[in-house]
Amino acid sequence: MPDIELQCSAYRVRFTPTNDPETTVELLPLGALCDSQPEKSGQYATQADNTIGAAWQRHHSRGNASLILRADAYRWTPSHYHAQKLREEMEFYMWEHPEGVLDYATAFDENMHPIFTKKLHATLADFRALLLTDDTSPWPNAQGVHFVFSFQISPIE
Amino acid sequence: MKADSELKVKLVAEYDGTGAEQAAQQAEETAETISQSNAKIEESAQRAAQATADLTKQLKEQKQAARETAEAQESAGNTAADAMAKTKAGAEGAGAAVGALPGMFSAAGKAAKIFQTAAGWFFGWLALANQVIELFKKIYEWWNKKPDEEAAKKRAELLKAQRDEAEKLKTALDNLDRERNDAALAVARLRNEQAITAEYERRAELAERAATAEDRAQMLRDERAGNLQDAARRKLDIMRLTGAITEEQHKEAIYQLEKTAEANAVQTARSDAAQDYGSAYRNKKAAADELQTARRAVRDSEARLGDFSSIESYDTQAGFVKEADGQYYNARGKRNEAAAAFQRKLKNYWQSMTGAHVLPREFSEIDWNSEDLSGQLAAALDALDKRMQDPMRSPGKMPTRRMSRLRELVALMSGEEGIMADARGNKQRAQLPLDMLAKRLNAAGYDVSTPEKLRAAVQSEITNLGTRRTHETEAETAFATATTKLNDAASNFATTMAQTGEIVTARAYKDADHADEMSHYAAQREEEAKAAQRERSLNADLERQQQAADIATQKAATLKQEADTKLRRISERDVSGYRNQNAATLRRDAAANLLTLAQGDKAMLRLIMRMTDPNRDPETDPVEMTDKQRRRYGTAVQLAGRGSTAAEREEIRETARAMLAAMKAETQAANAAAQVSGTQTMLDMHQREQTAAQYSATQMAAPAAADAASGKLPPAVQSIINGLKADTQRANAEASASAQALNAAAGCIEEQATVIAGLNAQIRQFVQRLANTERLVKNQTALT
Repeated sequence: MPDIELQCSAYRVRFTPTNDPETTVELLPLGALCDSQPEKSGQYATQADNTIGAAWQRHHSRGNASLILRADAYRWTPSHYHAQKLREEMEFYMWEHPEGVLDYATAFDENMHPIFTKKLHATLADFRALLLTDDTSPWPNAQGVHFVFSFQISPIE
Repeated sequence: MKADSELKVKLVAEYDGTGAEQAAQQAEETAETISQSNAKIEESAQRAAQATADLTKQLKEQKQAARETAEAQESAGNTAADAMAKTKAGAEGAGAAVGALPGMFSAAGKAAKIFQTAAGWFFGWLALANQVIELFKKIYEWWNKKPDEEAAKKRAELLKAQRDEAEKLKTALDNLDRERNDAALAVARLRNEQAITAEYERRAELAERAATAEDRAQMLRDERAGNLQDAARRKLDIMRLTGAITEEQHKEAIYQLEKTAEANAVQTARSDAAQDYGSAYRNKKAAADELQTARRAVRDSEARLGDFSSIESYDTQAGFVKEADGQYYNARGKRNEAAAAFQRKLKNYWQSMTGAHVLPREFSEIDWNSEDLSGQLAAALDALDKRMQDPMRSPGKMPTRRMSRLRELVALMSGEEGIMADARGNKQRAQLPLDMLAKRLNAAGYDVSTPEKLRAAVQSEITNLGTRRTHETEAETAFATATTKLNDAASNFATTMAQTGEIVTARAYKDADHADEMSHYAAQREEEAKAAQRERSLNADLERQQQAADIATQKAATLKQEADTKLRRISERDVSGYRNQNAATLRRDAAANLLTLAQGDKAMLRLIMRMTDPNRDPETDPVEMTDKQRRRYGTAVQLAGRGSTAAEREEIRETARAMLAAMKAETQAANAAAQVSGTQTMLDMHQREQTAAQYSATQMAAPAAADAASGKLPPAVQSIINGLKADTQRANAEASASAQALNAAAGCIEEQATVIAGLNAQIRQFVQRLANTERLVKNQTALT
């Protein structure tokens, strides 16, 4: 058992890649075990010097005015092979689809409907899929993957 | 000795703060590491050997290449020299032709000569041209022998590559060197660590052995010298050193030895004093007896001799006279002379008294040699007196006064001479002492049958008396001495008794002290027994608790396994049959996640059981989570509970119950383990206390403590440090020797590099010379 404080995710994060809008991956299911709830870090403001086109820059510098959304999720698999398979699939998927739209939802009501949703433009910043071991698995058996992903998010124009 | 060694080992371990077990483990690890290091070193050596062999091979190849280069250079040089020689010959021919030019115009008519000369000139130049052409051909040929040059270049490159390779090899050797040094240092360090214990034990053993041997030798010397007390003491010391007896036994034996020796000394002193006293007393008594005997003998002798205290008086009385010749003669023997002398004296007296020249006729009838001279003299005197008293004889009448005077005279004379003693009727008086003397002497065993023998007896008795008197004096002296000695001995005896009495009293106190000391040992033994008992009980507790803990752990593991299985069953639940698969999946995952999160959270598990209790009425018995619980479990509870079936809830409930049971069992196992750990701690503490007690009980404790107080290191630790220093120095020396060897190897490589550089220089020179030759040929050509 890991010596960390696990939580049940109160968020749901889905990813729809730009280059393949038909597929959607639920990166963080609602209620999934995670080390921490998704968190955003980074810079809200952009460069605001008195330069020409500052207003334009402010509006168009999504690369600069970006936040990093970090989230993680423990995914249980029926067996170790499934865990390996899931990891490979996810890695290749994220490698092939590094940019897309995040469907960010939380504040689920009693009917399990999120009363807060947000679509964000996202560029993959970091992605790790760690096979669980006896030391890191929260479940009785070391079967599963711990996904840790970071997206550079910016508003959709 | 073993106990001491162990103790010392323990001490060292104590000082290091590690246990003997750890030390043993370390030693094992050290041995293993050393073997690994040795293997590594061996491997390194093999690699170094391989590298050296490769290097040698390459050096050979380089030498071969150099030889080939030199041969090529030589052949090229030969070619150049040949070309030069030919060029020179051509030039000489041309010179001869030019030298002939002036002679051509010396005589106008000598056309034939001119023609000849011209022909010679022509042919001379022709020959020169031929030579030049040949030279060019040679040069062309040589120039076209590019492959040779390329080969040389290739060789140069090869040499360069080889040099690089050599550099690489040198680097590799350096690395190997460093590796080997590291390994050697590691080995040295490990060996040092190993050597600490071994060296310490060896030194201790040597010291002990030396001490034992010395003691043993001293013991034998003492035994040989009869110094049994010291020998016994040595023997006990040796027995203590070799561990044959305990310290207590040693102390007790030494004490008993001392006590016995002291008791023996006291006994001996008293006995000696008493014996001295007794013998002095006996001596005095003997001296007294002797004195008494001597005195009695003297008294007897004196009584026996009576008035005859000297032989002269005896002789006087017994008629013996000492003549001029120094010999004694008795009266009878000298009767004639004595009688004649008496006659003369009597005649003289008579003449002086009466004026008559002859003695009266009464005396003419006397036989002067008669035995009865005295009687005859008395009869003559009586007859003379009678005649003188005769009234008829007037003129010749002798007055009575004169007669008595004569009588007196005769008596006197006879008394003086000793022959007339009994002449006057005093025979009895004179004879009695001699008779008595003879009788006494005869009673004393003397032979007194003849006067001579009587005299000899008297003489002998007188001599004896003198001897006896001397003896008496001696006896008196001896008695006085014996008395003094007896006084001394008595005083000595009293002193000895007093002194030994003090010793005995002191010994009584010592006995008490010794008993106290020994009681300390007894108390110590008792303590040890108690400690052993405590250790046994602790061990038993430990074993029992360990068993209980094992059982509890096993039970907990089983229950945990069950709970895990249940949890897993939830996680693996197949939701394909559900109407709303997504919701079912969500519920399944949420339930699994909820239970996963709630693992170890007893309150939450109980809460979950309450939540999933089918008998609970949510209206009357609502379940409320705390904020914390809601933060942590709210989502999962919400997800798992919404739309869940009774079976799902029951499953969750069962799992939660199993988890609670597992937790309980785990808690019990943990408690049991804690108990085991506590008992183990107590046992450890107990053992440490025992070790500390042992430590403080040893003699080493005091100096060690003193050293610790003064900031000095204990000698054992100091010796270990010294050993370490020595070992480090040795390791450094070995390392420097290895470095030297490797430096030598590097020197070889340097030499090889120098050789290569020399070859390169030669090649450069060769190329330079080729270039020079080329330039020369070009110049020549231009000149031509």
